[in-house]
Amino acid sequence: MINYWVEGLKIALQPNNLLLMLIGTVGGIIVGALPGVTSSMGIILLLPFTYYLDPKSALLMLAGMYSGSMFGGSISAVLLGVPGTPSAAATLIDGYPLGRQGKAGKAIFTALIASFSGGILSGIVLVFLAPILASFALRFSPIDYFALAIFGLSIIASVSGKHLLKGIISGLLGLFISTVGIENIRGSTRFTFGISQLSAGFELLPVLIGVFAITEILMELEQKGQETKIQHRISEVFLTKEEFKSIIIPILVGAIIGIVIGVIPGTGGTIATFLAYNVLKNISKRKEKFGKGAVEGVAVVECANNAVTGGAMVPTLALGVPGDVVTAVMLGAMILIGVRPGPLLFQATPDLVYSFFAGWFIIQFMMLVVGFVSTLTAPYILEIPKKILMPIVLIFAIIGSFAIRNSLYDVAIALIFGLLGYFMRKHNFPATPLILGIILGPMAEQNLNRALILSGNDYTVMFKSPISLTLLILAVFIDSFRCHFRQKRR
Amino acid sequence: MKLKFSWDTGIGIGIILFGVFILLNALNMPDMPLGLGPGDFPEIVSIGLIICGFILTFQSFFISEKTKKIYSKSSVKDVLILIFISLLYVYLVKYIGFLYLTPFLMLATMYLFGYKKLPYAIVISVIFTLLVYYVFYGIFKVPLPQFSLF
Repeated sequence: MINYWVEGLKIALQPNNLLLMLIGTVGGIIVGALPGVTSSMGIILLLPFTYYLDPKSALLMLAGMYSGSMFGGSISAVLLGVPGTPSAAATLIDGYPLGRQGKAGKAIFTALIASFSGGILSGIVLVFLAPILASFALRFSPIDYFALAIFGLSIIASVSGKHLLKGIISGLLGLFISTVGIENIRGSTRFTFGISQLSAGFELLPVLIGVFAITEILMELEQKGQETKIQHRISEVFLTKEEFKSIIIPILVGAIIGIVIGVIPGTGGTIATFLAYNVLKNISKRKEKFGKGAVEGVAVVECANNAVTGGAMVPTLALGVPGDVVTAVMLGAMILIGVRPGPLLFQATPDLVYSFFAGWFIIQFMMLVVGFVSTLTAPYILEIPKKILMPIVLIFAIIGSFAIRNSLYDVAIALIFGLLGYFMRKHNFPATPLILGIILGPMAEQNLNRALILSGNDYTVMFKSPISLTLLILAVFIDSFRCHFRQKRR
Repeated sequence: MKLKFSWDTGIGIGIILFGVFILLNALNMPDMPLGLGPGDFPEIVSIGLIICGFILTFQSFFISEKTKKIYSKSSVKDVLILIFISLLYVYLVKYIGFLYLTPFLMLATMYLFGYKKLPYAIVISVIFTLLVYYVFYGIFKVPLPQFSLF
C-alpha cells in the first residue's frame, strides 16, 4: 500500500497535474459562486477541457472542480443572499446576516476554513473506506451488481422530493434512453428508426449538457432582467482567537454528519447541511444566536457541505454508484474520460486511485489559498451580468457537445435535451433520475442478463444471494431514512 | 363529479402512449432461450411507464394544481426562438464556420437576454469567439467547423 501512495504522490505532484488541480479548483470556485451556474453544470461545462488529458490528470482536475464548487456556493450566499449551489442554501441562514453586519469577509473566511477541514477529514475517511468497500465488492456476482444498480436507482426516490411519481417516470425515461442503439445481447439495434447516428446510442455528455446546462439557460431566459446585486462588501476577513475557538466543535459536528450522509447514496449536501445545522443548534448552549449571524452556523454548514464530497466519493469510486447529484455527474464525467469507477478500478489501476487520493489532499490546501484570494476578488466575478454570462455558457455548451465526437449531431442532441429538460422542469419532473437511469440502466440490464444465464432463467436468484438481498433491503430502508430527513427539513 | 383536465393529464396520456409504443416495438424483438432478449428490458420499462402514466393521469383529475400559469407567452416565445436560432446555427456552422458564425449567435443570445448595448455586445462577442477559437482549435486541437461555402 505504501508503494501505491508513493506512486500516487509522485503523479499528483507532477507540475502539470498541480497546474491542472489549480485550474480545476479555481474553475470550481468560480462556477460554485455564480448563481445560475450549479456545481453539476460547472463540472459539465469544464469537462471539454479534460478530454485531451490523461485520465489521471483529468480526474485530478475534476476533483478540484468538485471541491472548489462546494466552497464557492458560500460566496454568493453571503454576498448576494442567493446560494451559488443548492447545498449552500443553509449557509444563507447565518452567512447573509453576517454580511448585513459588515462581516461578509469573516463569513466567507469561516466558510473557507470549515470547507478545508471538511475536505481533509472526509478525505481521510475516503482513503480508508473506499478500498475496503471496493475489495468487498470484488466478491459481487452479476446478480449483486444488478441489485447494486437497483440500489443506485433507488436514489430517485430521495432526489425527487415530493414529486416521487414524476421522478420515477423520469428514471424510467432514462432507462429507456439507455436502451437506444446496439444492444449487447444479440448485437441488433434498438429504437434507432433508421437513424445511423443513433446506432451508438445517446452520448452521455450531450444529454448532461442539455439537461443541466441548456435547460438552466432557458430557465434564466424566462427570468431575464432579474439580476442579483451584491448586497455586502468585503472588509475585515480574519477571525479573532475566540471566534476561531468557537468554530472547532461545529467543524467536528459538520464533518461527522457530512461524511456519514455523503457515504449514503442519494442524500447529498443539502440534507447534510441542514441536518448538521439543526444538530448543532440543539446542542448549543446559546441557541438564540443562531440565525442572526453566528460564525458557528456558517462553520457547521460549510464543513458538512465539503465533508459530503469525500463521503460521496466512497460509493462512487468503490461501487460505481453515485453518492449524490453532483457525484452522479462526476460519475458520468469519469466514464467519459475513460475511468470506469467500481471495484475493478482499485485492482486494475491503483496508481490512478492513489494519485486521486493524494491529489484530494493537495486540492484542499489549494482551495485554502485560492479561496482566500477569491474572498477578496469575488465581488468582481459576481458582477458579470447574466445577459453576458448565459450566452458564454451557451457557447461552452455547444463546444462541449461538439468536442466529444467532433459531431454537430451531438450539439443538436444537447439542444433537444435542453428543451426536454426545460419542459420537465416546468412540470416538476426532476432531471437527476433521468441521468441516473441512463448511467445505471446498462449496468442493470447487462448484469441481470448474466445472472439469468448463470441461474438458468431463475428470477428468484436475486433473493437467494445474501449480498443482493441485503442491497435490495437497504434500498428500501435507506429510502425511508432519506425521505424522513427530507420531511423533517420541510 | 367534474373531472379536472390539466397539463398533467395530457402528460400522463402522452406517457401512456409512449409506453405502448415502446412495448409494441419491444414485443417484436426476438426472445432468447436463456437470459434476457433484446426486448425484455424495454418491455419492463414500458410497462412501468404505462402504469405510471395511468397513475399520473388519474391523480391529475383529482389533485388540483396550483393556479399559477406555467407558461407565459413572451417567455415561451423567447425559449423557442433561442432553440431555433441555436439549431439554425448547428445547421449553418458547417458551411460558414465556427469563427464567423459564433459571434452572431452570441449577439442574438445577448439580445434575447435583454442586453441592448450593441457596440459592447459586438466587442464581447468577437473577443470571446476569438479566445475560445484559440483555446479549443489552437491549443486543444478540436477540429471546429471551418468555412466551406466555396
